[in-house]
Amino acid sequence: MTADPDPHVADLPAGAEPPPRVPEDWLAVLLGGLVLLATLAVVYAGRPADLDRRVAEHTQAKSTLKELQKFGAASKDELKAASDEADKRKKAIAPNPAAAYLATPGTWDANPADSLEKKGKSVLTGIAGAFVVSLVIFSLGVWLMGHSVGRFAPAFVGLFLLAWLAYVLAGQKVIEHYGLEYVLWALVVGLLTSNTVGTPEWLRPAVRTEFYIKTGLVLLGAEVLFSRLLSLGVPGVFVSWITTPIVLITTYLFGQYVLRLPSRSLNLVISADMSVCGVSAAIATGAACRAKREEVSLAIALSLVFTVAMMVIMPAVIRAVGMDEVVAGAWLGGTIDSTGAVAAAGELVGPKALDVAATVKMIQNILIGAVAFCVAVYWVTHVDRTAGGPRPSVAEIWRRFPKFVLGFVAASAAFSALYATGTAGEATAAAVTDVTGKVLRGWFFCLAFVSIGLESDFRSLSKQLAGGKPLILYVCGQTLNLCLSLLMAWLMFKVVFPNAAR
Amino acid sequence: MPPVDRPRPGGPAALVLAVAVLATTWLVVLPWIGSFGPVQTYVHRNEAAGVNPGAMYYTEIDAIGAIGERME
Repeated sequence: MTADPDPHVADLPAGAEPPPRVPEDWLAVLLGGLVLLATLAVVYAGRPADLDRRVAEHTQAKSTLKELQKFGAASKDELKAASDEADKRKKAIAPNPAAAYLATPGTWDANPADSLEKKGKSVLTGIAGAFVVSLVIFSLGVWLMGHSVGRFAPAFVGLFLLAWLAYVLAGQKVIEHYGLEYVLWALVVGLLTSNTVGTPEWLRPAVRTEFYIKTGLVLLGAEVLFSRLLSLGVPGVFVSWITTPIVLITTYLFGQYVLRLPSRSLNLVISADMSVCGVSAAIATGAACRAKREEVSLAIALSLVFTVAMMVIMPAVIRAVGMDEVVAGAWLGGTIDSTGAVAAAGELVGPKALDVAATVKMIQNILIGAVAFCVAVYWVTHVDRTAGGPRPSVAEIWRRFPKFVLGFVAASAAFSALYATGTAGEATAAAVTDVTGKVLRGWFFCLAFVSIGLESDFRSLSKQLAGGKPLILYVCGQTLNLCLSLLMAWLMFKVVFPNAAR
Repeated sequence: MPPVDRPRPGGPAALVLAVAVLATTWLVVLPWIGSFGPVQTYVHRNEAAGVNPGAMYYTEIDAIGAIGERME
């Protein structure tokens, strides 16, 4: 995120590692790409012999669902059962053998040991598998950088254990169900360590925030499926892809010219996470504009605090005014930052609101790809240049451009193309990202945020809040978002396309 | 870049205190909050619907596949 090619090296004591032989960005593209290809190979190798039969069964299950929807007499439970069946049949088309060996901890209520199970099955093997894969991937990266794997590997064990702890904290049911995501607890775990006993020297070789973030972002690219853009038709695109850029740009300009925030990168990251989709947008935008770690942390903390408030307040407002469920779902999806919180808020309103809210948010999630790319281009051509100097040449733009964004975009393009090939392609893309996205990407981001915490202190974090301008920016931007999203949701789903999503 | 001049860490006592606060919150306070009727109802509804409020991206929502089938 910072402009230094390998900032953690500069913080190490004398005798520290030299600059990497291979740039980190390219390593992230290479390693992220390897993980995606390897997972795709595993899914392909595990394809069932009776593929055609399974596709036919899915088609049959979809027909049953469509019949129930057509006549409109089916209950909510019947529709849910039918759609669950169709989804189960689709997943059976492309099983992923690796899924049994890669996992994150589960949720728990009063006993943290319950996090070692998910749906009655132990995840200990899966967590061990995630550790081994992560260790191998990042050790390869460290070796290619020309750094000591002998120092990195034991340090990585310590870092992974801290990340595991963060996941366990995030998995407590009240925390999980009120949308306080694992990245927050990863930051807390790192901060508590560095601000009490200090980050031990033996742990420092594994503290590589940018490396973990960039590799995770390449994996995230595979989940950015442009083929799903029209899931809600034109109205969904208007709510998600027209309103969002307007809010993002307006908020950024407000921050620059009215509030005069001293840091453009902080301004951009807050504008993006508030208008697009919360934490994932903050991470992607922060990496694209080389924001400071503390800036990304502050933006995420602001987003999560307001997410909790909005996911409780907005459904209550919707019920109080008797808002139409479809319009309500579109409003929730277009405004609440966190994807999971959007779904929870939608569920509180009703089944149709859940469907519309989750779909609007999914379409907004897809915008991350375009935002990260545009931010990177804007940053390199307009911001990250010598004041008063000539416009950078194409070669200079290429030199400064964060190359991992290319990996992110390439992964998105490849998997969007795969998804668009049909039912088998959709199932295959989902099978791959079930492992690379849900599991490995999660661990990589968790490792990154523990690293941020280990490299930060409370004073540097609190400095970012100076004058309260970031908070004012967020509140003003979110107010605009709430108003514009509601107007667009009403216009699209009530006036222009009243039968959409019904 | 020179090393950042950071304040001295709080020491092992501060870590012990922080761990004690975390442990009390997570092992006592949060389960107590989770035992309230409305909170339990809310959690059970989410679990039944396949909704994970802690999901960062849409692919992490268990119900997204079924939602996609309904919305197509």
